Amino acid sequence: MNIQEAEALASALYKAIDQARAEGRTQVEVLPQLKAMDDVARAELQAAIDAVSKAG
Amino acid sequence: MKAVSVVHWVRDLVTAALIGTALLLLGACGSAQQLGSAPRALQVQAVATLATNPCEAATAAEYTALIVARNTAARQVRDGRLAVADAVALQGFADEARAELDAACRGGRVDEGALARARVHQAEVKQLLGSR
Repeated sequence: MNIQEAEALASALYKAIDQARAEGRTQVEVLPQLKAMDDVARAELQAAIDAVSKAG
Repeated sequence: MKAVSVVHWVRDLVTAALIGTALLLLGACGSAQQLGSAPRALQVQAVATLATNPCEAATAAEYTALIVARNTAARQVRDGRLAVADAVALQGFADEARAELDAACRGGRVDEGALARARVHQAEVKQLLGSR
């Protein structure tokens, strides 16, 4: 795992911890956070593809 | 309470605290190893600390690699360092990897076949990024 991946995983973990605290849970679920982050990354890549395609 | 009992109680408390601390430290080591290409023996420790089920430990790093790959591709396609056709192909491979990862982790059990297929698609994603 490179630094970027470690940072992304750390970010997901902190979000999952915050969410667990907010919901009064002691168990941290990181997969929903990672899936949400991938959904965002997918949308951003698609937007970049569309923007460059449109410009070209 | 007798003095001897108090001494035993304090000793047990300290012992429990030391064991707890050691487990936490071991767990932290296991998590750190899991982030890289961890030996199998250490992956068990990551399960105990990072995750509540084997699926999280098995797939978290794969999801993370997917996120970073898509982010990197988005930057590169905007900068003109990645061709649109390659970005479209990458998006497709990433989608297939994501579908396999989602399938690999249903009902709290790891589907090793789906996980292996996800890794094949991940390799295709990395190959596209690496070929720039």
